[in-house]
Amino acid sequence: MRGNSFRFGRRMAGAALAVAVALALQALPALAHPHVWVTASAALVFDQQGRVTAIRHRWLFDKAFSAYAVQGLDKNGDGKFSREELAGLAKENIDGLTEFGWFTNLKINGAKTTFSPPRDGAMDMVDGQIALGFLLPLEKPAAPGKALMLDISDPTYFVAFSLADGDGAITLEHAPAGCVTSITRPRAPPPQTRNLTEDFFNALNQASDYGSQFANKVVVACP
Amino acid sequence: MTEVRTGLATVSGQLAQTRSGGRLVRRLLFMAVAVAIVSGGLALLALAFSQAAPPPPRNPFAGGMAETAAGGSIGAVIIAMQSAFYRALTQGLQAFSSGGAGLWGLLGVSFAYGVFHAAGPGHGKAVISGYLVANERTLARGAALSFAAAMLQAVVAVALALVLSLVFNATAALVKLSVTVVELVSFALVALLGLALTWRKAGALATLGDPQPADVSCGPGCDHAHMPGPEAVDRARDLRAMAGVVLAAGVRPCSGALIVLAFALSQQALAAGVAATFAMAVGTALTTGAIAALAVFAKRLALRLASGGSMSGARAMAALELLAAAFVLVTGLALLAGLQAAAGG
Repeated sequence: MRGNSFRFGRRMAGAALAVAVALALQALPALAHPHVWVTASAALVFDQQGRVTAIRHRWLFDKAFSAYAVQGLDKNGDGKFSREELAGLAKENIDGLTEFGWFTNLKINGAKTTFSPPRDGAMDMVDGQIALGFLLPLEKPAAPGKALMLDISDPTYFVAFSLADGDGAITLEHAPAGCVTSITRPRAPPPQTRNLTEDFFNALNQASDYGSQFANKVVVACP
Repeated sequence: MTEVRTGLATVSGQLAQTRSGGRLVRRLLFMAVAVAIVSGGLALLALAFSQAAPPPPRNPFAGGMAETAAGGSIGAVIIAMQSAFYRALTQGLQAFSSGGAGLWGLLGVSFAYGVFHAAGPGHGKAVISGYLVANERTLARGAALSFAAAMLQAVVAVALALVLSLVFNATAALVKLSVTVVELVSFALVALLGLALTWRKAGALATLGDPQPADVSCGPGCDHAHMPGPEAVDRARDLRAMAGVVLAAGVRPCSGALIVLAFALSQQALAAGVAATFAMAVGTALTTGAIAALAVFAKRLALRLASGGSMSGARAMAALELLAAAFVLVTGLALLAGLQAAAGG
């Protein structure tokens, strides 16, 4: 009898395990795959004393999400999306970005910077892509010194950020002479207008960098 | 003599009542225990993985929608595949609309995206798997449910896109609002389905081993012809449950499909976008079907392990089915709670 119940217990444990594994597979914590791709460029705005006062962002969204985001906004029906027609969407986006810290991580000499509410928000349509621009002022202007680090990314990876191609990705406005910018890019450059196969593997590489906080890092050093 | 008879009838009636009352209490107790076990287990699982898991995805842009996929390093690979195929899909659509690519390539990429997109956990698969484990179901049934749910998802996406964009010239914000409403309905359906399944399975467990009540409602001469037999009742209940499963699993469209359809509209390639959406659904059905098959095999394995015709084996299987039903209920409640949290935050 005891042997019987032991065998029964073992059976049941096995049965429960089989079903538990099948169901638990469904319940693991989840994360997003990106539905939005942004090609970012930014300008660091300096003041007379050589301090950084603001970041001027310009984000170019992918065509598919752009089409989705602007649907129904062509109020005058001319087939174009004017800055006025997109003003509401721009404001909505910039306001919505507040709780995400505008996806902007700025460290000056190791200290994390805080920002004041953005200004000059505007959105344009450029060749089927929406471009969102806004000026993000630093709460306290600070001189970059030897190490200013800027990182534009979404840790939840709903939005896949990549820096624009070339040196134009990061510019310095009114910077003191001798400031140097260096950009660390992910393994593959952001997909532009290449053929599909190449693009596919680029996107794959880029996505495999998930979790890397240093995929799009900018370092600025000033004398 | 008559008095004695009436007295006996009363006594037996009362007996039956207390017995069924006890059964109800037992049934509710079983439900509560099953829900507690499943929620406890899932909470532990979430805790175990919380260290590795990044913060939950949020919706940063107005009109954008968050979606989910598997976590962990396997999750990263799946996500990489999903994003790559998704990019290929949108770019293929553009190439098609400008005459630079064929339809078959686009459909192939859409199909592949569907396969990988469905590879992460999602409530649809949880509902189908839970239902399959809770009920003894065949592979064919699992495949049919998966296929129907995926197709429903595509139909809803196309219908939403057509009605909202073409008829109402809706903005992304309105599209998002509609999806939230559909989502609420779908999650409520999951919870309701889970509740019905849990109720039924708790009842089965509670009555297990009770003597089968004799059919006394019908004397001789009572006409059965107009009453559906127990098999027909079962079948009707089955169909209802399966319709519920398909609705709960498939009524919420995936945001990828909505973006693709909006993009197709803007490229004057709506037909291609619709075709891509359905190719995506076939891919989704394949993956969901494979996971459903896994659930069916797990259930068969459990049945074999617990077999032997003993009472305790039957009881254990009934308990297992009850837990699977509670899993559907807890999933629904968790989804609703998540929606509530998102709305509040």
